[in-house]
Parts: sequence; structure tokens; C-alpha cells
Amino acid sequence: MTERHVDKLVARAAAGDAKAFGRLYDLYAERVYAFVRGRVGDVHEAEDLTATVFVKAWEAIGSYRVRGLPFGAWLFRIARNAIIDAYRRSARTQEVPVEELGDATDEQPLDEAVIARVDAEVVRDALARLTEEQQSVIQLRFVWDMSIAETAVALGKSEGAIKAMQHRALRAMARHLSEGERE
Amino acid sequence: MSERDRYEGLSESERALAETVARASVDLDDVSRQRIRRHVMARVGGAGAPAWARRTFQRAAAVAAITTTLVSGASYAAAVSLPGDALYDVKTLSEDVALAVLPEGDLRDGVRERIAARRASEVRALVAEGADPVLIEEAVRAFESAAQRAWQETAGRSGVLQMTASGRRVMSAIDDIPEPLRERLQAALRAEEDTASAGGAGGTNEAGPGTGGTDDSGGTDASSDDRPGPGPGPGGGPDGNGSGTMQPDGSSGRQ
Repeated sequence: MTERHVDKLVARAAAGDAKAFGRLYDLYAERVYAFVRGRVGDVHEAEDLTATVFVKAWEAIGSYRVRGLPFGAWLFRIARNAIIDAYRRSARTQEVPVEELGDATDEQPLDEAVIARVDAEVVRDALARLTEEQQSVIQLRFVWDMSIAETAVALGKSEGAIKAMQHRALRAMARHLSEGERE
Repeated sequence: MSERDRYEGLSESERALAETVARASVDLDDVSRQRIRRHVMARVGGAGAPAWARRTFQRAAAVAAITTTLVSGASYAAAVSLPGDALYDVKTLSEDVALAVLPEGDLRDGVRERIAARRASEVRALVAEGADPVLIEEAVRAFESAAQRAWQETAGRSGVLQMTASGRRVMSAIDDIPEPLRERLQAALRAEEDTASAGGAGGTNEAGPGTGGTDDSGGTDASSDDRPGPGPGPGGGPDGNGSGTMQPDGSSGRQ
């Protein structure tokens, strides 16, 4: 599915075509769910939030401009805001363990053997220990399949900042995985 | 995006980790995916219906808009009246007439949904003007009854819940109603939605978002059972078991 096809579906959905919106759901459901699932501990809550994201997208799609923000980035912002709203509603706060992450010069090597052994749950745990922005970068780059440039647009950052954040995030994840391996 | 672009600037080990993340993150199974899809599409207008079904519905919605305009044109004042107003009976009579002449089908379903939207709007208007709690309580019950009829008739006939433009208007009308009434009305809608979904065919139909439709205040939507009574006059009050915070206070008429 090319970007042009996505734009056509978006245009049809914006005109009220529910079936076109259903196709957009099919295209983006996994990505949105993966992002949401990384932020909430409960599977059912993640499903509810995923549904909320798409309902909000449907309600707002009339104001979306194809030539502006890429649709994926636009949808990601809705997802991010929905998660923030959910946290506010439930009066829960997410610990952002910035102090645990070390600095950009942390050069702990990535142990490929460790990476090969870790299962999905462990990876998700390691991902969840990153800062909110680092998680977003990793999700957008490797789950949403966005380029550095697209990720920069989605998060409102420079490409250089995204590259640095990506590097730090991967290093931090590797460290968490290594720690988990030793425990 | 090519593999090269995806992993640009990454070392081999970083790339391995990125690939692991990608594999680990995508774990939405088909059952969950479809369950979420049904929920989403129920809100946006159904899922998977053939184009002809959408066109049929859209035609019906257009006819409903015309019918609405014709009938309500007889008395705009009646159309915008609220429970407790002298012209409210005229409004509900026009609703009865519209329903009486409509055969079962999409058009009637649309009218049923707009009845519910109209009842919700009446609750909102009564609350906004600080009407008698007795009257508000009756209006809330009228809404619950209208929602039940709209959802059950539609789902019972077609086997699916068809959340159309009118349905969204119901949701929208409720959004503006202050708590705790809003939660009560939303609960009534959720109950009907759950009932309809439980008896549905799995969300394989699709109703388009609808076209046409008119403002709730000018509609012909009607049901003789889906509206408040003539007001809490002598002996005409509610049965006194109202829920929520809206309790009868013995006063009569709108304030």
C-alpha cells in the first residue's frame, strides 16, 4: 500500500466513506495497538484505547489535510493524546525513569546473544522502561516503519534529535536486557 | 521503506535489537483485531456492507430529510417545543403521524434514531433552562425508552446495530448534558448497544454515515411511547422511583 493509496483512502473517509476508514483501520490497527500496548499494562485496556484512537480519528478526519502531516504521523499524535487523556482520567501517573537511563555517552555494548534469546515480553518490558519520547521514537521507527524524517515530523523534532534519541533508546534497552539476563 | 532506510545509521547489534523490537511489538491477534474493528465500525457506521446497501440507506436518509421538512413545516414552534409546553402534544402528534405512515426499513430506522436524538436534546434543553426535576426525570425516561426502541427495532430487524448519522447525533446530544444525567443516558445507550451487538450478525454489514438529515428541532421523529407525559400536573407526576439525583419535588410545570 503506497502513500498515495493511503491518501486516497483518507480522502474517501473524510467524505464520510466508512468502508474506506475500515481499510485504514486494517492498515494501522497493529501499529496503533503496539504503541498503546507498550503504554498500558492491561490487554483489554489496550484494546479499548486502540478503539478510542480510531473513533477519535474518524471524528476528526474531516479536518485532516492530506498535504499536511502524513496520515501515520497524524494518527500517532491522536494515539499519543488518547493515552495521555486515559492517564489523566484514571489519575495515574507514569513513572518516567529518566535517571535510570544513563546519558548519551553510555557505551555499554549490545550483546547480540542476549538479544537473540529475549522473548517478546522481556522486550516490551525493556521498551516500557524508556522515556515516553524514546518509546515513541522506537515505535515509530521500527514498528510504524517511519523514516527518520517522518519520525521527526510526527514528534515535532529535528532529524538530528531523532537520531540521537534513537541511539540512546537502543543503548538503554540493551542495558535493561542485559540486566534482566543477569538477574 | 527499504531495509537500508529503516536501519540507516545503525550498527549490526543495534539493528538486531530493532528487529527484535519490531517482532515483539506486533502481537495483535486476529480475534482481537476483529473485536476492536467491530467496536470502531459500530461507531463510524458499520463495516463491510456492499455499496448498494450504503446507497439504499443514503436514499432513505434523504427521503427522511424531505419527510421531516414537510411535516415539521406545519409548525416550527411545535417542532422546537419542550415537554411541558402547550405545543408539545402537537410535536408528538406529528411524530406519530410520521411513524404511522412509514413501513419497516431503513427510513423508519432513521426516524427512530432521530426520535432518540430529539429526546436527548429535550433533556439537554430542560436541564439548561433549569426545568422542574420531575419534568427532567420524565424526559430522561422518555429518552431511555426511545433509545431502546430505536436500537432494538433496528437490530431486531436487520440483525446488526446500525450506528448511522442519526445515531451519532444521539451521542452528540448526550455529550452536552451535564453529569450525572449524561452518565445515565450513556449507560442506557451502552445497554442497548450491547443488546443489539449480542444479537447481531458479527458486524458484517455496513451502513454509510448517511446523508441528508435535518436538525433535530425540525424533525418529524416520533413515537407515542418515547416522550414524556403531559407534565407533572395534579396526579400526573412520576411514580416516585426516579434514579440518579433527579427526584420529584412536587412542583408542577416547567420553571
